[in-house]
Amino acid sequence: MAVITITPSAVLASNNAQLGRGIAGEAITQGKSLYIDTADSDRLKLYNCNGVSPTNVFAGISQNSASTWQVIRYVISDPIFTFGGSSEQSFAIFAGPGIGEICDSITDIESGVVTPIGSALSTTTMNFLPIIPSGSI
Amino acid sequence: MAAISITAANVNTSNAQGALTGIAGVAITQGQSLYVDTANGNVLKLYDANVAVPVNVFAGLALNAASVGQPVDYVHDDPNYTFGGTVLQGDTIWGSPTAGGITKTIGDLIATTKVTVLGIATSTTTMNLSPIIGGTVQ
Repeated sequence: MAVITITPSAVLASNNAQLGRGIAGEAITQGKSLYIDTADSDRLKLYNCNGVSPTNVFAGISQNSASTWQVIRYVISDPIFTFGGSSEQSFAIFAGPGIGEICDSITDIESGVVTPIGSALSTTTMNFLPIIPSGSI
Repeated sequence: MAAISITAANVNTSNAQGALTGIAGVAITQGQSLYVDTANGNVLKLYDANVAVPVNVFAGLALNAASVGQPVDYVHDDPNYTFGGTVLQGDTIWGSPTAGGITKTIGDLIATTKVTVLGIATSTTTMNLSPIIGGTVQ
């Protein structure tokens, strides 16, 4: 139960995923948690549960890799999302605690906004259905 | 002269809304030239001017990076495409016989190479990307 280490090449959305496309506001790799920077032309940047709005408003998880101002794809929801890391079946997955990270224990979120983003279906997949907005610790 | 050296982070399009999308059939990074593998679910792979159809049929240049099975955006036409490398204004840029590459050197296009003009450099870092598929070098 900890921050989930992501292998970018292992991140895969299913055919039933809800997808989004935007412009990266910073360098982003696959599997990062993102927010939409409404103060910067709606560019996508790395989510931070300890930041202030809109930084702590979860938008999705990146599907591919992009540098600043390049096109980036992200997953908004997905009933069988391969998140690129390893957890335990039935564990809840949260956005955070570090910038752009996801984790599988509420105890990892020591401060800031708590955003459950899904539940693990297996060690490598989850039902990705973020609950937004969520409460703060 | 080898293929134009691309800095992935410098690649960009002037019209992101006009970008095309497909699924990567190989690992792809920004700025690489692509073809559509019509024999394999139309996934995107690295173009090579010196390989048979469909590999030598230019589809576009990658706008982001993806691993196998991930979505990748690419652009086919762009009057002000930032290709991520450096050339001289006015240079002609071709699809390369190096997989995924582009070149400004006509000498790279050896016999049996399918010639595709990708565009003309509008500055040292941008080009009018407007591909023209030509014949094969004899």
